[in-house]
Amino acid sequence: MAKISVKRSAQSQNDRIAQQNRRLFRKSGLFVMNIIGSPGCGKTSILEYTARHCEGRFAVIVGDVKTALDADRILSLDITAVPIETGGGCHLSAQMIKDVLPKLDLDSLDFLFIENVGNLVCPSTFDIGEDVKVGVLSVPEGDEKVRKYPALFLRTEVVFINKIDLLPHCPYDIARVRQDCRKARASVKVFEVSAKDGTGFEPWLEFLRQHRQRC
Amino acid sequence: MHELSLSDSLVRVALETPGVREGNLRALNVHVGALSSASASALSFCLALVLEQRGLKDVKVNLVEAPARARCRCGHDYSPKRLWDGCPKCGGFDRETTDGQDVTLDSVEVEDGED
Repeated sequence: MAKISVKRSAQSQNDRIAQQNRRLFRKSGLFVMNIIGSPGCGKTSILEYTARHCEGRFAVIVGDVKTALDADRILSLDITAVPIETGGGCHLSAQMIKDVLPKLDLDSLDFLFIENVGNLVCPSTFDIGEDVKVGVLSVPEGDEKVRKYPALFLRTEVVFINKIDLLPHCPYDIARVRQDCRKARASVKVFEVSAKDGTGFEPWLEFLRQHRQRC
Repeated sequence: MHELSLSDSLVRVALETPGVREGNLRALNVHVGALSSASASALSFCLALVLEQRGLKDVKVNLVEAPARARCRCGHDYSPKRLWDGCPKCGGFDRETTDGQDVTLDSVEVEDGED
């Protein structure tokens, strides 16, 4: 029996394709965000609000285990939306993104939003070529999510706390969540919003304006 | 259950390694990083499944937990056991992790003398 040294990460193939995607995005001057959160936290609702108010040109890739329902919601706003049905898969991989890129005219866009499968665990460790990971929390889920799912929040540059209109009805220590987010990543931008009534979105839209100018 | 994707990738990486073929592969030695967010028991289950599907059910899998190494922004070197373990000196999380973040195929064992 002979031993052969390998020392390669299980993620090495995914990482290689993610880097190819990233090079393509950079070439087109695109700012790409990987949106990650639990099922029902409001990822699509945040994108719908953004679609109505963002000045930049953007498209959305929407990952779902089954159906293209979320992609249809974005399409109904006249925004290009490409669905990826993972058929049971718990996260989007760099290869899945690469496979749908021919459906998009990258040079005509400022932003690409990639809505990952609703899951706080698996998507956090798969690079898909994004510039930033965006974590989405929501008030009814409880205020311990950052501590319970550090794999995501140690990697997120942007965090939304959505459904703040429900704060009067839910025991939720928003200061603690904010503090946990900063503990996990000191430079994180936290946006406290209600996608239902539009509260709190101006700083997010300003964030997008700044990144559009940089691209 | 991203362990299934990781398992599939580990087997592919093994078979891409020069000198390794389906016919001579006997064992996979896998390091599971302490901060990898992968469950060793789920990996073990999924690797067995992937190997069986490829007709390689006799390939042995050895999983070893690999400790993490990190350097905090304050300069302190430490070994976080879990992701939510801050620096023991300053309590911070702003760190550069050098080891223990990944699931890695450390080595493979192959049968001698086959060609």
